[in-house]
Amino acid sequence: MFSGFRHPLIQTLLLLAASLMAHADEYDIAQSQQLRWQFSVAAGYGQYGSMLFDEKASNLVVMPRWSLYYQRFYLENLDVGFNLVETEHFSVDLSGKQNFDALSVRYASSEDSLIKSIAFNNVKVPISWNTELSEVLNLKKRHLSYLAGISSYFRTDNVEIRSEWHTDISGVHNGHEWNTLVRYQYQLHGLDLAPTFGIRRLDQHFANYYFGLANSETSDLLLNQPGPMWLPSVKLDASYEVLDNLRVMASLKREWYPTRVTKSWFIGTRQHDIWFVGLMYRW
Amino acid sequence: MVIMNRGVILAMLMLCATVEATQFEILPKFCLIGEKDTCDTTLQIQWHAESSACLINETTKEILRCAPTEYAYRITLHSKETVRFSLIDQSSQKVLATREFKVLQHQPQALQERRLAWSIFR
Repeated sequence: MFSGFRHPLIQTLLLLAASLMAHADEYDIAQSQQLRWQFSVAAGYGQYGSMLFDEKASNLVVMPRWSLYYQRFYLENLDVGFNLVETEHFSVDLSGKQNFDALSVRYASSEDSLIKSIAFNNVKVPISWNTELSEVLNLKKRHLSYLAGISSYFRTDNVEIRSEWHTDISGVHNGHEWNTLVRYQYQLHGLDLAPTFGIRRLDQHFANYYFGLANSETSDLLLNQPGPMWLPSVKLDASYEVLDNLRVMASLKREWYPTRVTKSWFIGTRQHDIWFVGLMYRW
Repeated sequence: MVIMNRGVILAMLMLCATVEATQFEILPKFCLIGEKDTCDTTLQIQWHAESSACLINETTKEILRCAPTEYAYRITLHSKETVRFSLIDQSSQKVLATREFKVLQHQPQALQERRLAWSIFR
Protein backbone atom coordinates (compact mmCIF):
# COMPACT_ATOMS: atom_id res chain seq x y z
CA MET A 1 0.00 0.00 0.00
CA PHE A 2 2.81 2.38 0.87
CA SER A 3 5.02 1.39 -2.05
CA GLY A 4 4.32 4.77 -3.60
CA PHE A 5 6.51 6.64 -1.10
CA ARG A 6 8.87 7.27 -3.99
CA HIS A 7 6.48 10.07 -4.84
CA PRO A 8 8.45 13.36 -5.00
CA LEU A 9 6.04 15.21 -2.72
CA ILE A 10 6.42 12.84 0.21
CA GLN A 11 10.15 12.66 -0.39
CA THR A 12 10.30 16.41 -0.02
CA LEU A 13 8.22 16.22 3.12
CA LEU A 14 10.43 13.57 4.67
CA LEU A 15 13.62 15.39 3.72
CA LEU A 16 12.35 18.58 5.26
CA ALA A 17 11.45 16.74 8.45
CA ALA A 18 14.85 15.00 8.54
CA SER A 19 16.62 18.29 7.99
CA LEU A 20 14.66 19.78 10.86
CA MET A 21 15.71 16.96 13.17
CA ALA A 22 19.36 17.14 12.08
CA HIS A 23 19.58 20.79 12.96
CA ALA A 24 17.72 20.53 16.23
CA ASP A 25 20.88 20.94 18.30
CA GLU A 26 21.49 24.36 16.80
CA TYR A 27 18.49 25.80 18.48
CA ASP A 28 18.44 27.23 21.93
CA ILE A 29 16.30 26.48 24.93
CA ALA A 30 13.60 28.88 23.89
CA GLN A 31 13.05 26.89 20.73
CA SER A 32 13.12 23.53 22.44
CA GLN A 33 10.17 24.74 24.44
CA GLN A 34 8.19 24.65 21.24
CA LEU A 35 7.93 20.89 21.55
CA ARG A 36 4.38 20.06 22.50
CA TRP A 37 2.84 16.66 22.61
CA GLN A 38 -0.39 15.22 23.81
CA PHE A 39 -1.83 11.79 24.17
CA SER A 40 -5.50 11.12 24.81
CA VAL A 41 -7.66 8.09 25.07
CA ALA A 42 -11.40 8.23 24.66
CA ALA A 43 -13.42 5.33 26.02
CA GLY A 44 -17.10 4.99 25.35
CA TYR A 45 -19.27 3.82 22.53
CA GLY A 46 -19.70 4.80 18.94
CA GLN A 47 -20.08 3.46 15.45
CA TYR A 48 -18.22 3.74 12.19
CA GLY A 49 -20.85 3.40 9.54
CA SER A 50 -20.76 1.08 6.60
CA MET A 51 -22.04 2.06 3.18
CA LEU A 52 -22.33 -1.54 2.08
CA PHE A 53 -25.77 -2.91 1.32
CA ASP A 54 -27.33 -4.51 4.42
CA GLU A 55 -24.16 -4.21 6.44
CA LYS A 56 -23.98 -3.08 10.04
CA ALA A 57 -21.70 -0.36 11.33
CA SER A 58 -18.54 -1.22 13.24
CA ASN A 59 -18.49 -0.53 16.93
CA LEU A 60 -16.01 1.93 18.38
CA VAL A 61 -15.08 1.53 22.03
CA VAL A 62 -11.61 2.95 22.60
CA MET A 63 -10.22 5.75 20.49
CA PRO A 64 -6.61 6.85 20.99
CA ARG A 65 -5.49 10.25 19.89
CA TRP A 66 -2.01 11.74 19.85
CA SER A 67 -0.34 14.83 18.56
CA LEU A 68 3.15 16.23 18.49
CA TYR A 69 4.24 19.70 17.45
CA TYR A 70 7.89 20.59 17.09
CA GLN A 71 8.82 23.86 15.47
CA ARG A 72 7.41 23.55 11.95
CA PHE A 73 6.65 19.87 12.08
CA TYR A 74 3.53 18.26 13.43
CA LEU A 75 1.94 14.88 13.78
CA GLU A 76 -1.78 14.42 14.40
CA ASN A 77 -2.56 10.73 14.67
CA LEU A 78 -1.67 9.48 11.19
CA ASP A 79 -1.55 12.94 9.65
CA VAL A 80 1.76 14.75 9.31
CA GLY A 81 2.57 18.28 8.31
CA PHE A 82 5.38 20.66 7.70
CA ASN A 83 4.54 24.30 8.04
CA LEU A 84 5.54 26.73 5.31
CA VAL A 85 3.71 29.86 6.45
CA GLU A 86 2.39 30.58 9.92
CA THR A 87 0.79 33.80 11.06
CA GLU A 88 -1.85 34.46 13.65
CA HIS A 89 -4.65 34.08 11.12
CA PHE A 90 -3.15 32.12 8.28
CA SER A 91 -1.15 28.93 7.80
CA VAL A 92 0.08 26.91 4.86
CA ASP A 93 1.45 23.41 5.35
CA LEU A 94 2.79 20.55 3.31
CA SER A 95 0.69 17.73 4.65
CA GLY A 96 0.14 14.02 4.52
CA LYS A 97 -2.96 12.24 5.72
CA GLN A 98 -4.44 8.83 6.00
CA ASN A 99 -7.59 8.41 3.98
CA PHE A 100 -10.26 6.19 5.52
CA ASP A 101 -12.79 5.89 2.69
CA ALA A 102 -11.86 2.23 2.32
CA LEU A 103 -13.29 1.48 5.76
CA SER A 104 -16.81 2.36 4.71
CA VAL A 105 -16.83 -0.02 1.72
CA ARG A 106 -14.44 -2.86 2.39
CA TYR A 107 -15.86 -5.35 4.81
CA ALA A 108 -15.04 -9.01 4.30
CA SER A 109 -18.67 -9.41 3.36
CA SER A 110 -18.69 -6.77 0.64
CA GLU A 111 -19.28 -9.36 -2.07
CA ASP A 112 -22.17 -10.75 -0.04
CA SER A 113 -23.56 -7.21 0.03
CA LEU A 114 -23.33 -7.09 -3.73
CA ILE A 115 -25.17 -10.40 -4.15
CA LYS A 116 -27.87 -9.44 -1.65
CA SER A 117 -28.33 -6.08 -3.28
CA ILE A 118 -28.65 -7.62 -6.74
CA ALA A 119 -31.30 -9.96 -5.40
CA PHE A 120 -33.12 -7.33 -3.36
CA ASN A 121 -33.16 -4.75 -6.13
CA ASN A 122 -34.07 -7.36 -8.70
CA VAL A 123 -31.14 -6.40 -10.87
CA LYS A 124 -31.15 -8.22 -14.19
CA VAL A 125 -27.82 -10.00 -14.61
CA PRO A 126 -27.52 -11.79 -17.94
CA ILE A 127 -25.79 -15.02 -16.97
CA SER A 128 -26.36 -18.50 -18.22
CA TRP A 129 -28.52 -20.97 -16.28
CA ASN A 130 -25.67 -23.16 -15.19
CA THR A 131 -23.58 -20.27 -13.82
CA GLU A 132 -23.66 -19.15 -10.20
CA LEU A 133 -23.89 -15.40 -9.67
CA SER A 134 -20.87 -15.52 -7.36
CA GLU A 135 -18.83 -16.97 -10.25
CA VAL A 136 -19.15 -13.82 -12.32
CA LEU A 137 -18.52 -11.49 -9.40
CA ASN A 138 -15.04 -10.72 -8.25
CA LEU A 139 -15.35 -7.71 -6.00
CA LYS A 140 -11.90 -6.46 -5.08
CA LYS A 141 -10.96 -5.26 -1.65
CA ARG A 142 -10.71 -1.48 -1.43
CA HIS A 143 -7.40 -0.52 0.18
CA LEU A 144 -6.64 2.34 2.49
CA SER A 145 -4.67 5.10 0.81
CA TYR A 146 -2.27 7.71 2.04
CA LEU A 147 -2.43 11.17 0.59
CA ALA A 148 -0.01 14.08 0.46
CA GLY A 149 -0.49 17.64 -0.59
CA ILE A 150 -0.96 21.10 0.75
CA SER A 151 -3.26 22.48 3.45
CA SER A 152 -4.15 26.07 4.15
CA TYR A 153 -5.90 27.50 7.18
CA PHE A 154 -7.55 30.81 7.80
CA ARG A 155 -8.75 31.51 11.30
CA THR A 156 -10.29 34.21 13.39
CA ASP A 157 -11.19 33.96 17.07
CA ASN A 158 -13.96 31.39 16.64
CA VAL A 159 -13.95 30.42 13.01
CA GLU A 160 -11.51 28.31 11.09
CA ILE A 161 -11.60 27.71 7.34
CA ARG A 162 -9.42 24.92 6.10
CA SER A 163 -8.85 24.08 2.48
CA GLU A 164 -6.60 21.26 1.44
CA TRP A 165 -5.64 19.43 -1.70
CA HIS A 166 -4.12 15.96 -1.55
CA THR A 167 -3.11 13.32 -4.01
CA ASP A 168 -2.66 9.61 -3.51
CA ILE A 169 0.98 8.71 -2.89
CA SER A 170 0.36 5.12 -1.94
CA GLY A 171 -0.35 3.97 -5.47
CA VAL A 172 -3.81 2.71 -4.52
CA HIS A 173 -6.00 4.77 -6.84
CA ASN A 174 -3.82 7.73 -7.96
CA GLY A 175 -6.70 10.09 -7.35
CA HIS A 176 -6.94 13.57 -5.91
CA GLU A 177 -9.08 15.01 -3.15
CA TRP A 178 -9.93 18.60 -2.43
CA ASN A 179 -11.46 19.25 0.96
CA THR A 180 -12.79 22.46 2.45
CA LEU A 181 -14.11 22.81 5.98
CA VAL A 182 -15.57 25.67 7.94
CA ARG A 183 -15.59 25.24 11.69
CA TYR A 184 -17.14 27.43 14.32
CA GLN A 185 -16.01 27.02 17.90
CA TYR A 186 -18.16 28.03 20.81
CA GLN A 187 -16.89 27.97 24.38
CA LEU A 188 -18.86 28.58 27.55
CA HIS A 189 -17.29 27.73 30.90
CA GLY A 190 -16.27 24.10 30.54
CA LEU A 191 -18.40 23.44 27.47
CA ASP A 192 -16.94 23.40 23.98
CA LEU A 193 -19.04 23.07 20.86
CA ALA A 194 -17.65 22.96 17.37
CA PRO A 195 -19.93 22.46 14.38
CA THR A 196 -18.09 21.93 11.11
CA PHE A 197 -19.46 22.17 7.61
CA GLY A 198 -17.44 20.64 4.85
CA ILE A 199 -17.39 19.80 1.21
CA ARG A 200 -15.06 17.30 -0.35
CA ARG A 201 -14.36 16.82 -4.02
CA LEU A 202 -13.08 13.46 -5.24
CA ASP A 203 -11.72 13.12 -8.73
CA GLN A 204 -12.80 10.24 -10.95
CA HIS A 205 -9.90 7.93 -10.02
CA PHE A 206 -10.57 8.39 -6.33
CA ALA A 207 -14.34 8.07 -6.59
CA ASN A 208 -14.36 5.18 -9.04
CA TYR A 209 -11.90 3.17 -6.97
CA TYR A 210 -13.89 3.29 -3.75
CA PHE A 211 -17.43 3.75 -4.92
CA GLY A 212 -17.49 2.31 -8.41
CA LEU A 213 -17.87 -1.15 -9.87
CA ALA A 214 -15.23 -2.02 -12.42
CA ASN A 215 -15.78 -4.24 -15.44
CA SER A 216 -13.35 -6.79 -14.05
CA GLU A 217 -15.36 -7.08 -10.83
CA THR A 218 -18.61 -8.08 -12.48
CA SER A 219 -17.47 -9.75 -15.71
CA ASP A 220 -18.49 -6.63 -17.68
CA LEU A 221 -22.08 -6.98 -16.49
CA LEU A 222 -22.66 -4.27 -13.88
CA LEU A 223 -20.20 -1.52 -14.62
CA ASN A 224 -20.72 1.68 -12.64
CA GLN A 225 -18.18 4.49 -12.64
CA PRO A 226 -19.73 7.32 -10.65
CA GLY A 227 -16.98 9.73 -11.66
CA PRO A 228 -15.96 12.94 -9.88
CA MET A 229 -18.19 13.82 -6.96
CA TRP A 230 -18.89 16.52 -4.39
CA LEU A 231 -19.50 15.28 -0.87
CA PRO A 232 -21.02 17.72 1.62
CA SER A 233 -20.68 16.92 5.30
CA VAL A 234 -21.56 18.16 8.77
CA LYS A 235 -19.79 17.35 11.98
CA LEU A 236 -20.47 18.32 15.56
CA ASP A 237 -17.86 18.01 18.27
CA ALA A 238 -18.91 18.66 21.83
CA SER A 239 -17.07 18.28 25.07
CA TYR A 240 -17.44 19.26 28.68
CA GLU A 241 -14.54 19.49 31.10
CA VAL A 242 -15.23 17.33 34.14
CA LEU A 243 -11.77 17.42 35.70
CA ASP A 244 -8.48 18.97 34.64
CA ASN A 245 -7.61 16.23 32.16
CA LEU A 246 -10.96 14.53 31.83
CA ARG A 247 -13.73 15.45 29.44
CA VAL A 248 -17.07 14.07 28.46
CA MET A 249 -17.08 14.24 24.72
CA ALA A 250 -19.19 13.46 21.70
CA SER A 251 -18.49 13.58 18.00
CA LEU A 252 -20.94 13.02 15.18
CA LYS A 253 -20.24 13.26 11.49
CA ARG A 254 -22.40 12.67 8.46
CA GLU A 255 -21.27 12.85 4.85
CA TRP A 256 -23.59 12.65 1.86
CA TYR A 257 -22.82 10.94 -1.43
CA PRO A 258 -24.48 11.35 -4.81
CA THR A 259 -27.27 8.94 -5.65
CA ARG A 260 -25.25 7.39 -8.45
CA VAL A 261 -22.96 5.60 -5.98
CA THR A 262 -25.85 3.28 -5.14
CA LYS A 263 -25.75 2.06 -8.74
CA SER A 264 -22.63 0.26 -7.61
CA TRP A 265 -24.89 -2.39 -6.19
CA PHE A 266 -22.72 -3.33 -3.25
CA ILE A 267 -23.34 0.16 -1.83
CA GLY A 268 -26.64 0.42 -0.04
CA THR A 269 -26.73 3.96 1.25
CA ARG A 270 -25.66 7.38 0.09
CA GLN A 271 -24.72 8.69 3.48
CA HIS A 272 -21.95 7.79 5.84
CA ASP A 273 -22.12 8.33 9.59
CA ILE A 274 -19.53 8.21 12.34
CA TRP A 275 -20.31 8.94 15.95
CA PHE A 276 -18.76 8.45 19.33
CA VAL A 277 -19.73 9.39 22.88
CA GLY A 278 -17.48 8.83 25.84
CA LEU A 279 -14.93 10.05 28.31
CA MET A 280 -11.61 11.39 27.12
CA TYR A 281 -8.55 11.45 29.35
CA ARG A 282 -5.64 13.57 28.26
CA TRP A 283 -1.97 13.28 29.31
CA MET B 1 52.71 18.96 45.52
CA VAL B 2 52.03 21.24 48.44
CA ILE B 3 54.14 23.95 46.81
CA MET B 4 52.20 23.59 43.55
CA ASN B 5 48.90 23.87 45.35
CA ARG B 6 50.07 27.01 47.07
CA GLY B 7 51.18 28.37 43.72
CA VAL B 8 47.81 27.67 42.17
CA ILE B 9 45.99 29.27 45.06
CA LEU B 10 48.23 32.30 44.90
CA ALA B 11 47.63 32.65 41.17
CA MET B 12 43.88 32.40 41.70
CA LEU B 13 43.99 35.04 44.41
CA MET B 14 46.00 37.32 42.15
CA LEU B 15 43.56 36.74 39.32
CA CYS B 16 40.65 37.62 41.58
CA ALA B 17 42.46 40.70 42.70
CA THR B 18 43.06 41.71 39.06
CA VAL B 19 39.43 41.13 38.10
CA GLU B 20 38.18 43.09 41.04
CA ALA B 21 40.53 45.95 40.23
CA THR B 22 39.06 46.21 36.74
CA GLN B 23 35.58 47.56 36.30
CA PHE B 24 33.98 46.97 32.97
CA GLU B 25 30.35 47.65 32.24
CA ILE B 26 28.17 47.62 29.16
CA LEU B 27 24.68 49.07 29.06
CA PRO B 28 22.22 47.91 28.00
CA LYS B 29 23.04 44.26 28.45
CA PHE B 30 20.32 42.77 26.29
CA CYS B 31 18.49 43.42 23.08
CA LEU B 32 15.33 41.54 22.13
CA ILE B 33 14.61 41.33 18.42
CA GLY B 34 12.16 39.61 16.11
CA GLU B 35 13.04 36.56 14.08
CA LYS B 36 14.40 38.44 11.07
CA ASP B 37 15.30 41.75 12.72
CA THR B 38 18.61 43.34 13.57
CA CYS B 39 19.39 44.95 16.86
CA ASP B 40 20.23 48.63 16.31
CA THR B 41 21.23 50.31 19.51
CA THR B 42 23.79 52.53 21.16
CA LEU B 43 25.87 50.91 23.83
CA GLN B 44 27.44 52.78 26.70
CA ILE B 45 30.69 51.13 27.66
CA GLN B 46 32.66 52.19 30.71
CA TRP B 47 35.76 50.76 32.25
CA HIS B 48 38.23 51.40 34.95
CA ALA B 49 41.56 49.61 34.86
CA GLU B 50 44.82 50.02 36.66
CA SER B 51 46.71 50.73 33.47
CA SER B 52 45.98 51.55 29.85
CA ALA B 53 43.48 49.17 28.36
CA CYS B 54 41.95 48.46 25.00
CA LEU B 55 38.37 47.55 24.19
CA ILE B 56 38.03 44.76 21.66
CA ASN B 57 34.99 43.48 19.85
CA GLU B 58 35.68 39.76 20.11
CA THR B 59 33.12 38.95 17.49
CA THR B 60 34.81 41.02 14.78
CA LYS B 61 38.28 41.02 16.44
CA GLU B 62 38.29 44.78 16.05
CA ILE B 63 40.11 47.05 18.51
CA LEU B 64 37.56 49.71 19.25
CA ARG B 65 39.38 52.03 21.60
CA CYS B 66 42.49 52.17 23.77
CA ALA B 67 42.57 54.54 26.67
CA PRO B 68 44.24 55.21 29.99
CA THR B 69 42.79 53.87 33.19
CA GLU B 70 39.24 55.19 32.87
CA TYR B 71 37.06 55.62 29.89
CA ALA B 72 33.44 55.97 28.84
CA TYR B 73 32.59 55.08 25.31
CA ARG B 74 29.48 55.02 23.16
CA ILE B 75 29.14 52.73 20.22
CA THR B 76 26.30 52.21 17.77
CA LEU B 77 25.76 48.56 17.13
CA HIS B 78 23.91 46.70 14.39
CA SER B 79 23.87 43.01 15.09
CA LYS B 80 21.73 39.92 14.88
CA GLU B 81 23.97 38.02 17.27
CA THR B 82 25.35 38.36 20.73
CA VAL B 83 28.50 40.49 20.73
CA ARG B 84 31.35 39.74 23.10
CA PHE B 85 33.60 42.57 24.25
CA SER B 86 36.96 42.19 25.96
CA LEU B 87 39.07 44.65 27.82
CA ILE B 88 42.77 43.87 27.49
CA ASP B 89 45.78 45.33 29.13
CA GLN B 90 47.48 47.41 26.45
CA SER B 91 51.02 46.47 27.36
CA SER B 92 50.67 42.83 28.35
CA GLN B 93 47.71 42.04 26.06
CA LYS B 94 46.20 40.14 28.97
CA VAL B 95 42.45 39.93 29.03
CA LEU B 96 41.25 41.92 32.01
CA ALA B 97 37.54 41.32 31.64
CA THR B 98 34.93 40.27 29.13
CA ARG B 99 31.29 41.21 28.81
CA GLU B 100 28.56 40.12 26.45
CA PHE B 101 25.87 42.21 24.89
CA LYS B 102 23.22 39.59 24.37
CA VAL B 103 21.01 39.73 21.31
CA LEU B 104 18.00 37.56 22.01
CA GLN B 105 15.71 36.54 19.24
CA HIS B 106 12.04 36.36 20.03
CA GLN B 107 11.18 32.88 18.87
CA PRO B 108 7.93 32.47 17.00
CA GLN B 109 5.22 30.60 18.84
CA ALA B 110 4.80 26.93 18.15
CA LEU B 111 2.27 26.11 15.47
CA GLN B 112 -1.35 26.51 16.27
CA GLU B 113 -3.12 23.20 16.66
CA ARG B 114 -4.40 21.81 13.41
CA ARG B 115 -7.11 19.79 15.09
CA LEU B 116 -9.23 20.30 18.15
CA ALA B 117 -7.52 18.60 21.06
CA TRP B 118 -10.74 16.91 22.13
CA SER B 119 -12.01 15.88 18.72
CA ILE B 120 -11.32 12.31 17.73
CA PHE B 121 -12.47 12.35 14.10
CA ARG B 122 -10.63 14.29 11.48
